[in-house]
Amino acid sequence: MITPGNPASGLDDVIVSVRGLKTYYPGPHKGFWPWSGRLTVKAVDDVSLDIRRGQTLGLVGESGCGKTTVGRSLLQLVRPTAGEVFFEGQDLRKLKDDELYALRKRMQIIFQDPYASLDPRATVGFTISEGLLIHKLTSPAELPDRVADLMTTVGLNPAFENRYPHEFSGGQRQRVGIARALATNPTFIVGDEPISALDVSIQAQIINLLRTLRDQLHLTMLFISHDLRAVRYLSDDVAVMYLGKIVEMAGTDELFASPLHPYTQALLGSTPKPSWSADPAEAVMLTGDVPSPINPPQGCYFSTRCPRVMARCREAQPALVEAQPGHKVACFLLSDAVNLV
Amino acid sequence: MDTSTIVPADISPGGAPAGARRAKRSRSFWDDAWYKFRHNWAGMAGLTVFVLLCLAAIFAKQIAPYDYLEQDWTAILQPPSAAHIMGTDDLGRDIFSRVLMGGRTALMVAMAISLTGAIVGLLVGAFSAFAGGKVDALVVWVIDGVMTFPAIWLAAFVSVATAPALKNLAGSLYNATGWEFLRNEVMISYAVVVFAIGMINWTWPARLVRSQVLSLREREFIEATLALGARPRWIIMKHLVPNVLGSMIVLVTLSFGNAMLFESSLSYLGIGIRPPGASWGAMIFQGMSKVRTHPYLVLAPGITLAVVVLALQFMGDALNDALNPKSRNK
Amino acid sequence: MIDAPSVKGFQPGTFAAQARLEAPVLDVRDLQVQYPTREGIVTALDGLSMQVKAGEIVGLVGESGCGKSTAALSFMRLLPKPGRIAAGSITLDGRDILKLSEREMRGLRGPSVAMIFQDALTALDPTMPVGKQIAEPLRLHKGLSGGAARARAIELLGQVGIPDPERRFGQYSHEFSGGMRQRAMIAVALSCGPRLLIADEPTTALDVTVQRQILRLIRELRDTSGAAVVYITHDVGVVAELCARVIVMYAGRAVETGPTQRVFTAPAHPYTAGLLGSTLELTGDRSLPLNAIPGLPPELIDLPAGCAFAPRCPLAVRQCQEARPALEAAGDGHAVDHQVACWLREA
Repeated sequence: MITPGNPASGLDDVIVSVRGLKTYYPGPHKGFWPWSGRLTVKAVDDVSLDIRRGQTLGLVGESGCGKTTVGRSLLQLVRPTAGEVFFEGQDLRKLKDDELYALRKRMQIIFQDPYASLDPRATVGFTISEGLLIHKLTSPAELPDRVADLMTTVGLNPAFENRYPHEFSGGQRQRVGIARALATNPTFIVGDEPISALDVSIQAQIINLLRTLRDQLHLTMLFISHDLRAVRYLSDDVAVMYLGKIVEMAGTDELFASPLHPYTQALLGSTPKPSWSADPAEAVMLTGDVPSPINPPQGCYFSTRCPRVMARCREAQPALVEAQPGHKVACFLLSDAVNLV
Repeated sequence: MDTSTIVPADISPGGAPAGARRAKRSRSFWDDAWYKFRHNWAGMAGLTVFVLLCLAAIFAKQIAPYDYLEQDWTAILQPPSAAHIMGTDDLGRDIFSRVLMGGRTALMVAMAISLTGAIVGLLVGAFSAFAGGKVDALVVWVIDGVMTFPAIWLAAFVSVATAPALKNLAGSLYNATGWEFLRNEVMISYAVVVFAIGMINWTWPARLVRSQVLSLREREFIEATLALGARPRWIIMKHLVPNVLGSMIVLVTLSFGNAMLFESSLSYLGIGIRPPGASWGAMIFQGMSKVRTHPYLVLAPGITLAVVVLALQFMGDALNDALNPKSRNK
Repeated sequence: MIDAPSVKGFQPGTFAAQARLEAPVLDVRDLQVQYPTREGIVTALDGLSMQVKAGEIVGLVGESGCGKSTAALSFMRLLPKPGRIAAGSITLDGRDILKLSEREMRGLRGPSVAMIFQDALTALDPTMPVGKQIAEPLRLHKGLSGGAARARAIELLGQVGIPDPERRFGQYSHEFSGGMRQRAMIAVALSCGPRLLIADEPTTALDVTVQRQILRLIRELRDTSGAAVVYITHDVGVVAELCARVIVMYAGRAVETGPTQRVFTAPAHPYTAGLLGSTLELTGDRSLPLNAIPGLPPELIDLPAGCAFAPRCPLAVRQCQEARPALEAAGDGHAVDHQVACWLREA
């Protein structure tokens, strides 16, 4: 369950804490000319969340919802526009470059694309040891042992350390990416869709591996995915994003058992179900596509596709409030009910 | 962390870890490139010709049967024979010896031009890509501007315009240092040619490096390295340079042939290497007036030039196929 | 609702009943596809046989490299060079398409067989308005006049659920959103009312809420037009929802085939069981490790002598290493309907 703790008060249980995070990108030009002003893409629009030590938060949503940008902003790979990002009590946005470089060994990322995220001209051994070399964590004498150790950990044959990425399959490359992320003994790992580019049988292998590693190494994780099914196997809590905002956040079992936001319900209802199952799909079908984050709709961003939209939804934005203990939702259907009580 | 306690659940049965299937062909990127190059007959032929040219140029003095400047008034305009395998010119100089020395000239000039072009281009291109914004726009304008002009026209212009200035510079340097070679007209003509062609030649590598760095910067593995805590210097040295290197090698090879052609063109026009310095272009020019009666005066340097440039082109194309993973799968 | 694009005079809904009586639209026998490579000949598809009747959706499911996309391209006779069909036959509506000239085959693409792809952005021509891409084949194959083709194209755009089809007719593919683009591509494929529709991972690049819309669209189109559909995917969940019958593929061969419910609830091949065990679910115990298949699929250039799945198979016996099992009745009372290629099928 998510505890909305105050990160400055020394509540060391929460190791990642985000408050009012906004990350905007410059979008396309407004006019024809190169000097005409640019539109703003509000990739992440006022997101707050906490992750407690040893816990995994699943961040789920469709393409363009800003989930990847949340992960990048957390690690300061993308500079946020506004808000606070605390990691182990330090506000990352206030750190100097050198301090940030040094701190990065404590927080790591696993990428989606196992092809693009490995340098084609570097051996996998170099890729895995790179973090150790950058931070000078291991003496040259111990380095080969450490690399072999890491490769064994992720299920790769250490004899292959001098091979190049193109000699490996997608699943094996993803293991290299995981070993690279583990090398510096991080406490926090962002998994940015680490399984969505893989084949089904390999997905299951990688999910099992991530679970084993997380439990053995007491890792704290932010697991980003578009697939609710994958999130379910790895997360303690789940946050659902839509157009740059969190619309619902709860413990995993709670969220899957009783989703409150119409969007979460639609996501769950859209997942394919066997034709012979008791409750076949099609219960909730959304129309249309996700609107553009350059020009989001008035009021609640989901109002253009929501099957239960009310007049009010088109005028004002609902806030993320605790509808039930530990279960937050941003929807007038529920916040009204809460206010009435 | 104690990793020994973790036994991944998914090591293949029989203890063969995932990955064993490719065990029989482990090749590094460079091994693979060499394999591809080796199996490209045109590239190998090009390499052979190029190596032969280099050897001939290095040992020109030893191989040449005569001094390239030695005039034999008893044997002018001789057709090829046992004594003079490519014949002699109108001053009775042995053409084979002059072709060898011309090769040395061409090689030296081309090497100077390609290497300086590559270095300048690398610096300018990388700087421009990293600086971005207005600086980048300005550099691109300059590159495009230089490339707009016909290269030979521009080189000729630079050569004519800068020759006096360079001569003056050499003169004042001689006054300051007393080094004899600074008064050597031939040496100064070398410098003029290198400078003139170099002024144009840097634009190709600069443009290539700029576009490569721009696209590499967006690649996820650069972000991954950044996420590891690497500083920009590390990323440039460990990732950008190795990734740009392949294309640079190709470009330098191709520009090498180009530079040779350029030097010959300038010399042919009479604004390149000064006589008595040996240059294929100058030899062709001098032979042109007698081409009807003594075609070997033109054919010997002309064919040599064509063969060498073609060889370099073949080599460049083969290297491109071998080193450039994008065009590989085609 | 949606009209049948070409098959006139049929009432929606009658096809499912007729399907059992008719001859199959697509009849593939012992299809073998090979690619010569630097390291030798790769057999991308080995002995595939399948029949699809009108109004039937058959799923081809498997992981990358299993041959499912190669199969799709063979049915269109669009195999990329240097791939070639080494053996077998493909009969489309009673005609053996492997015996047709390239020119005759071109005449079939559109009216007889059409394909929808995973990536609509590359499948659609970026330089031509989307509407024109639908109207063009209508003029070419159906001999419609310009005005009639335009009217029909607008009708088709409306049928696949594109709002404001009049305006959309003149737009280019980059002006469409992902889901709309996929719909537009489906409209292009349907323009001449194909008897066989091949869908190669049409929803893989889409979000789940959009996938739901496209799956429904495909089902509706099948109901109204009576086309036979081959649905190719790696997603077991989609097959379970959409397809009446399924062919599970591994390393270029069909390893199990039968009614989807039968195959997925009582898999006879250990690979099918492993694939199902690896599939992520929305329900059930989430604390257990997934029942993943260990190891990796074999390289097609270097297939084991026996069953291709034997090196990863938890049940493999000596016989599996030595000889390849043929596709035979699973022996579970479903007779010829449920077939499996496994030495342990009797056990």
